[in-house]
Amino acid sequence: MKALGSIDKEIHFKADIDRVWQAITSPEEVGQWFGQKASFELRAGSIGWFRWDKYGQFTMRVEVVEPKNYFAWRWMANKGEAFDESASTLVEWRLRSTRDGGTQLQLRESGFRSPASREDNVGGWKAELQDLTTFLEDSSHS
Amino acid sequence: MSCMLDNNVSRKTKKQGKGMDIFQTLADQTRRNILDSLRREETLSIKQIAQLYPDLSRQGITKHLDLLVKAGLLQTQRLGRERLHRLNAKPLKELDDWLTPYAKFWDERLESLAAHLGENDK
Repeated sequence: MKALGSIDKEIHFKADIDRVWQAITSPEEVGQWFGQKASFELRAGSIGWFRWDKYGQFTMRVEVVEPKNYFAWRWMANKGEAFDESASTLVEWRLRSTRDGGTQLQLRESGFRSPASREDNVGGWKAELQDLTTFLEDSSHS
Repeated sequence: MSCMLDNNVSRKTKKQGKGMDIFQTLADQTRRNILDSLRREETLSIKQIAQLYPDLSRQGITKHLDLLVKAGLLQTQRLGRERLHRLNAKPLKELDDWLTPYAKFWDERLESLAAHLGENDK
């Protein structure tokens, strides 16, 4: 069942599990499809980041690495924030091989808080909405 | 992550005064379980909930139920000496709406991953 207050996604790839594992855990590859650049070490506790040209850089921390099966990291909601577990969300990647040689990916992001509950960070959220508004305006003009 | 690509983000987050209670309320596994039970049953009394969760004290259950009521997730109704609880799904719907842009973000990222893996090459 879908967990309340979290996001669950499931997708099947024709690529085998080794390939998918590589694509989601190698910073070089993650930088090619997730954002524009990623930096982290593949070990629990490593602090790293994801970067988007448009949105900025988001701090993350690797939580669990179970090769080929499970990869989990936490990340901050707002760009430029130092890592703070209590204000992060958890992103979990579960992989399993399917009979056809492909790979099933289950993705979950959990631990959301509404911006109103984070009074210490209202400014950051507002700044980001401003960025978002700018982004939406830019893209509607192009 | 909040840099979502949905036009409705700013509008929705402005009326989020109530939302924070829901996130905090739902952060607890027991309360999520109780809500799931109420999705299956029309109404439940404290006694019935206690039977479903024998590990919890009556006091503990009452505390969880009070928090769920405060968050607007439960409606209560007196029936004789019993208090019946019913799920109010409206705040959950609002929560889902709030999460929609985040879900969209992941749809896009996963599409991008599929393309990266060459899934679209035939």
